[in-house]
Amino acid sequence: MKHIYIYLTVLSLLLTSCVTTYTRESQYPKMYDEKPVTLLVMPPINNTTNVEAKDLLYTSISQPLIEAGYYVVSPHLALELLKAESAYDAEMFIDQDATMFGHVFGADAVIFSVIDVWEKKGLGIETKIKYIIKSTVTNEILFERSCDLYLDFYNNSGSNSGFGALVNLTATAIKTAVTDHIVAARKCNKYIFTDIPRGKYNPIYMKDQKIQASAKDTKVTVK
Amino acid sequence: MKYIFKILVIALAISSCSNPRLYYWGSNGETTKYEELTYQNYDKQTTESICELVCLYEDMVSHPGGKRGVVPPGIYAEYGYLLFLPSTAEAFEKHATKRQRKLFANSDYSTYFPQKGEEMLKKEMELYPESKKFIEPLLNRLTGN
Repeated sequence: MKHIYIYLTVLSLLLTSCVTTYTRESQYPKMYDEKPVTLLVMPPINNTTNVEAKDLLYTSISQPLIEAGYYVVSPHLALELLKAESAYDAEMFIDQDATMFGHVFGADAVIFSVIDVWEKKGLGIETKIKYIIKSTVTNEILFERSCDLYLDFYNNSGSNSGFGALVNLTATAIKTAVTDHIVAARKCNKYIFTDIPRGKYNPIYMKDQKIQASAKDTKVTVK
Repeated sequence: MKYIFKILVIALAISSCSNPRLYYWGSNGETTKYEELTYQNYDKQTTESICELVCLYEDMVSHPGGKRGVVPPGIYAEYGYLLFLPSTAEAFEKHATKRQRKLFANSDYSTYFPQKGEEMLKKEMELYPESKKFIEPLLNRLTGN
């Protein structure tokens, strides 16, 4: 019996030593070096046929970043100026000099997002989005992460009975999708920005370097 | 046993009272009222959605909450800009419900809203000085200075 405990302990130690552990500092060191305060959200680059996806993501990115402690230039106000400056198409700027956004908006960094998948699949929504935060001071990429997320509405029903499940299944199929898509956008943002180093207005600003972080590219199913 | 029960009650009370958010966004649900209404207004703006949005912003600036207890970045600015638009006063004049009108002491919306809008944009710069670079030119443009 004693041997079994020893084997199990050694085995668990071996298994845990194989798992790579990350911290926020090891994943996003440049965020700590540059300490951006003000962020500007660029309109998302939409590589899908779902035209609503761009607006859904654009209107929902700022809240999680503000909650993380950043000052985010209001996307609703920035949009007009971006259009006036012919800067609405983020594709044109993702690989270009970003310093102009510092001069015009006072932004320390710019957020680009690329939507590669956004579609209803089965009884849920499948999304694949990449986010990049680029410095307007050094033009360096400070944060880069992608999220492959499936939002499962069927298993979210909470019903165990056959009839209940059938009712929920029908309801899910005919439900107006807008709120569901808002939820999908929010969940994507939540996963992406979970590990972002906290900003100036967060109580743990510059104290979160050693907090554990996940891999940069995530694939999750959420309910 | 009695001791464990007491601990459980206290833990439940603390968890139900705690608000993990830094700011108040019009509701405490998973998807906030702010997220829903701003998208709705951005996607398909109607006179009703404008009135609802004005009331949401008024609630957010009047009842700051969350861990920081102040209005979130950008909210004074968004509210101020919305109040400056002539279409906002017009929509509120014609379509606001009685309950919505009660939020404002002054019913001369076409005069009062731009005044309040200017005040809101100035508050954004006071609370968040980093916004000045963007907000000041916007305010100058709106006031014709």
